[in-house]
Amino acid sequence: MRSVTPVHFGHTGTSLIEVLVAAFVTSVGIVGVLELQKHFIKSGNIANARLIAVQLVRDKMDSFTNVDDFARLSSGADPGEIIVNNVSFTRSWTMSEKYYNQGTGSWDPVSEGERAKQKIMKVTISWTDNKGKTQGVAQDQVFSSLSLHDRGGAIDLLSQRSQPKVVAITATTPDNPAFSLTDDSFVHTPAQYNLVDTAKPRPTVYSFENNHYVQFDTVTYDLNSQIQDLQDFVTLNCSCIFNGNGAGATPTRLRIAERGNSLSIDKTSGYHLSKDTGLAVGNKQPALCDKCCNDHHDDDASHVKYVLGTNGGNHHHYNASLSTETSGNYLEACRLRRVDGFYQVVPDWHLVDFIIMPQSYFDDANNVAAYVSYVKGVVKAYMTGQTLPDKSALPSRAMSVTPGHYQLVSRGIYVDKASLNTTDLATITGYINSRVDWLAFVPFYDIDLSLLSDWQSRDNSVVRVTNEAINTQVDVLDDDYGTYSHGRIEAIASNDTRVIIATARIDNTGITGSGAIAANTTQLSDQLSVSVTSNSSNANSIFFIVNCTSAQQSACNVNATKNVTLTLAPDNISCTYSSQKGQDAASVTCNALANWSGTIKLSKAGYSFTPAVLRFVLNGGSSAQPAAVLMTEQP
Amino acid sequence: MPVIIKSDKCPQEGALTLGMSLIMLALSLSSALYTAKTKLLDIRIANSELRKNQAQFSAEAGLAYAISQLEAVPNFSKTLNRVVQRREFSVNIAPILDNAVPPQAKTSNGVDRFYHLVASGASDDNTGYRVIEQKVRIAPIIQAAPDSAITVSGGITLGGAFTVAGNPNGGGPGVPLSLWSDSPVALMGNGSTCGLQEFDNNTCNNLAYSDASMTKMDVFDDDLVPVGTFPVDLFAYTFGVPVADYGETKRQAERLLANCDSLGVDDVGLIWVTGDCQINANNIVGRASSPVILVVENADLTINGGALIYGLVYCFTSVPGSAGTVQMVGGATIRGAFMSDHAINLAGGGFNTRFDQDVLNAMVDGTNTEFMSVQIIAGSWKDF
Repeated sequence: MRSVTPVHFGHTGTSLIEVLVAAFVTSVGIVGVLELQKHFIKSGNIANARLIAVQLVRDKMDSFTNVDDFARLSSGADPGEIIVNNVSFTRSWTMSEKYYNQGTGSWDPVSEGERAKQKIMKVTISWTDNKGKTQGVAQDQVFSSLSLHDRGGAIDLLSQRSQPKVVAITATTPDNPAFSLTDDSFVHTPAQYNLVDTAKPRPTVYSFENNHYVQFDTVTYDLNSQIQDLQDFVTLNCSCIFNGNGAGATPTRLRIAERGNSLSIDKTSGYHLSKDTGLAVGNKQPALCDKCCNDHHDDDASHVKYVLGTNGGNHHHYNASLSTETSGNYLEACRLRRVDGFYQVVPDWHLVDFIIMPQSYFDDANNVAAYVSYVKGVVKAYMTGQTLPDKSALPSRAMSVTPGHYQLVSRGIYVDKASLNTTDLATITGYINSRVDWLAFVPFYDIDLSLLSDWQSRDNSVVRVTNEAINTQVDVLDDDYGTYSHGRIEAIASNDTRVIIATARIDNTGITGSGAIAANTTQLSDQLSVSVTSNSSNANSIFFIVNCTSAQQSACNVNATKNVTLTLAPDNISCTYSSQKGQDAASVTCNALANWSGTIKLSKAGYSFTPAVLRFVLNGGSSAQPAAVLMTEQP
Repeated sequence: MPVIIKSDKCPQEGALTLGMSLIMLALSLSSALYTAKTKLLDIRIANSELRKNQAQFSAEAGLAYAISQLEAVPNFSKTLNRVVQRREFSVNIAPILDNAVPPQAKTSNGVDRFYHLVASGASDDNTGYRVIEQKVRIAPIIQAAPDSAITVSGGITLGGAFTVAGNPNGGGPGVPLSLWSDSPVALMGNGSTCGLQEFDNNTCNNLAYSDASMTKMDVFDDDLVPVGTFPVDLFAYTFGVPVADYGETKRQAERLLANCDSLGVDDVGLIWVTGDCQINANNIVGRASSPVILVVENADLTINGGALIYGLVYCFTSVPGSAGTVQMVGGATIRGAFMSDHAINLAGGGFNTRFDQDVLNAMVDGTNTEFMSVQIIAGSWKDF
């Protein structure tokens, strides 16, 4: 066995010391390094904790961003600590409210009465690090009152918005035929084009002492969109006095619409300029007379004229003697169109053609079709400067009647060239031979003038016609001919034929039915013949007047004569009771009777009739008929 | 026999130990350095994340600030450099030219404006930087003026001495529209509907469109309105927001009130009242040029004699069965329009409503900034 025996020299302990020194150095170094590592790890933990804290801030801010109700953004704190990675965090937040100070242009703290439109949020996170030291993170954020979830910006409901639509009533009424706005000489599909009802309902008349105020609508139906286009006209006459130079409106006129398939109001027209003006005289005239007197003056500065053909300065005005007037009182009549709710004075009416007919004329559809075609022909001829069509081409309007009351109607055909500028007028004239719908571009109106035109008979002993003073209509819907009577004929047994004539001036007074406002105004007239037959052995009739007296021994009003009951015995015939029209008496008419004999009794509660019972023996016209029945209101 | 090892190198005998110690020290140091490096990287990442978040907060603050600014001043257009608390940001508010606006983002009222917001924010030490963008639309709170002077869902009964001047073009060009309802409209008493001219001239009763004796086409009720034309959602028809989201409109109110006691001539914009609203006699609310939209939610509205409201009055029901009543005493007038999403019975008193296009236009033409709202264009936010 071998053994190792250390050999000891004089410096034998040195190694131990060296080892100890080395161990010491190493220990110190390692301890230092460990301390360093510890420090690094601690620093990393603090950084990580800080990062977690920032994420907790982010979480809170995101949760607030998702709150729709701005009012709910308020100060607060989490109910408990949030533990992440063994670190306990405490989170709280404050919310300061701001409003925009318009005066200073700054966001100021909300004070009493102000509503916050901006909030500044401060989120604070605190925790204790592993050294026991309190750490913290605080971050700020701005919130507007807008919610990320608001959808107002995502939807355009305007283009989809419901809109009220008036169903187009296209049926032709007995009184007013509707016009398809197409030229019948073109081949076309009628349903593609619009209809126009140029006076619906018939003109409504108001009378203010010496003023007549006439209103009616013209309605165009768009058959595709079901939307109506309504033109509301008022025509009135006024008494005015010149008021020197002042601000007055130029005429509001029409233009071809931007979409190019109709006419529309030219919103650039109707502006004010300095020109002659007038004032309404007195305070009993319609309020619109103020506008009429002030605006209805032409001026060189305006290309659009109220009176067609006016060249240079103002058009003439006339006094009550129909002498030219330039400074004092004058007569006036204006045509006004409602624009955005308010009446504006527009160029004067211009009557192109005038026609009368029995009220029953439009009961025949063939007559309606012929009349519509005639009116279109008149408009076309006027627009192209040709001779107007001959009325004789229409189905006969002559009347052959038994004695009785009958209503006539007169119609005026107006074409409003003055409301078009020369460029549009030329364009529209060019359309006449190229577009089936050229009528949609022509402002034409077929107006019932029955209650406004003047009526006369050539022989009152055969045919009498009413032409009473114009008055405010009382029952426009149910009895528009009742307030005052115009164009109601009384055919008197005669076996004779006479002519009824109606006339109307071509200017605004043709609509107002008032007196002339200018010297030598052109009038248009028309006539029809009325043949009255007498009773015969084959055809008998009954016609008698019913006069009415009120309890005060004065004439009854129109309503008193309504609702009278006829009792026939035997009741094998048909009779018609016509109530009083204006001052024109009520009547009873029974037609086409052959050898009828019997009684007719009139009755109405509160009234007595004399004779109480009428006896008839119709035998070849030999029976005597009463001249009149007296209807008396019981006191 | 023992082996005797002799060394003649005594001075070098501790070097090995020292060397080993140094090696161990070096290894420890390397380990420490590695740890340091790793931790330093962590810290750097954490600080970077912190700065990024700070910059993001700043940029978002800038964007929200810009939206607030546009809500307060809808025609605002410039670059703002602001420090709000510790958030420092810069935001550029620039209008977008119309031809640059996507067609699908446009509405048809013609007054909308579009803005491009670019917000940049910095971290607290200004070493982090973030840019975010958003496009917004500035549009009126109500998309368009109502079509009718009075619009009521559920029917309306008018009595007493009412006068209603209709919208002159509500039913089409020149076609007046005074009352619009999906249910029966009953006109009683001695009132009437008429045109604006007649209302202003105090000749409404003499030159009436409709009254107790006769109802004309300016009254669109269930007899005339074709099925489907009356708005299914009257709130959406008015405010462009489905009624289920009415809170969105409510949040845009200038004032949220429990009653109408404080209302006066200086009020303008959307005023939302959640309690009974009584306008005192002869009190004037709003102006023709700066009107109000007065929404009365689930509460009664009383307008006393001589009182005048310029604007749109909307009676709103957010909770079924809580509809409020409306009372107007003689001489009380609304110039603008009146709407209700529930049946109204005004059998007595006086009810004067004059459709006023100028007043209603003042709500939608952009002249009164109080009526303009900021709307986010969906999909336009980006941070790249």
